[in-house]
Amino acid sequence: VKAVQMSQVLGSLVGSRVTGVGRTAHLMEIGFDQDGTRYSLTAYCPLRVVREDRILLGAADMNHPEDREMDVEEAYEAGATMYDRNARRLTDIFTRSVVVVSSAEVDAAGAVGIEATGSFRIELMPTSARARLETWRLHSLPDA
Amino acid sequence: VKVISDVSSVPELRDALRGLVGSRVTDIGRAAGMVELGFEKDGKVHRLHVQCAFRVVREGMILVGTTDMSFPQDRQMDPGVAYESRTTRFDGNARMLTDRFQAGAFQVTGTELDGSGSFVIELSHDLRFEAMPVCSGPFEAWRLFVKGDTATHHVYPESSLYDGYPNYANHDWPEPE
Repeated sequence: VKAVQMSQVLGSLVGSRVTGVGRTAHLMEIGFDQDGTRYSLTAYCPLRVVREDRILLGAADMNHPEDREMDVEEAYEAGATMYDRNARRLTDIFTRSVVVVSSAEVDAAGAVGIEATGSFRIELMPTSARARLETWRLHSLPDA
Repeated sequence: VKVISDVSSVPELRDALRGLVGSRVTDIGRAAGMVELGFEKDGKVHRLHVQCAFRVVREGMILVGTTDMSFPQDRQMDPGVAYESRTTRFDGNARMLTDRFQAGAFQVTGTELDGSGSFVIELSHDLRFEAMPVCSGPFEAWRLFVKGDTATHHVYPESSLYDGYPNYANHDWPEPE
């Protein structure tokens, strides 16, 4: 899929509500809702959520246990990393407050920038020269 | 002895990066999982150590990036062995790039830094170095310094210079309007 088409596909997120952040193992997930149609943006590549200038969540937070004394692997398996904690906090915010995507762009090398109301920004950056490696994917989910 | 580095605010970091404009890129490599970049200007050697997400891009193509450290050049090889023996795809591509840097003049033409530590270094021949910090906690994402000058290191984020773990991303989580 060419970059131009990618932009159009991502553009379909504009106006949607951000619903949550999570992960399945190393695959990070961000949920969106566009008038009842649910979308999921999943990323294997580096991802972060920024508000104003603060990084509120990032892929590398998975390497740090919520409880400092806990083993890193154990925390990863148990969903008890800083990533998980921050994802829960963000999901709480997105559940209570309506945060809506105002723009979504992708550059020629696959980096994504999604702006949302409340000064939120979701950023993804593919970091591999391998052409056939999945970095991120946007897909609609079947009705609940 | 741990060298206490300068605490750098974003405007100071922006200035420090801008100081690379006009320098010549000399090399790209790694020490364990940390990317190392070299620049030369007016007889001074500038080093940039990057521990966050990083990639080299040319005309929409990623030439090398941090994730390539996970892949062996030889598909039959164990990724861990390749990492230790410096035969990952990162190492191969970085060596090719360093050869190019040695052979021709690749100059820094511009730099950009956003408020949360992401930088772009633009080079001649349409090359770009791009980095994005992806940790909300107090861990070093990148550091810029002049070789031999241990007193002045420019580090992002500031919080990585002290033990901020108890306050790990416990900063503002206010409700949006």
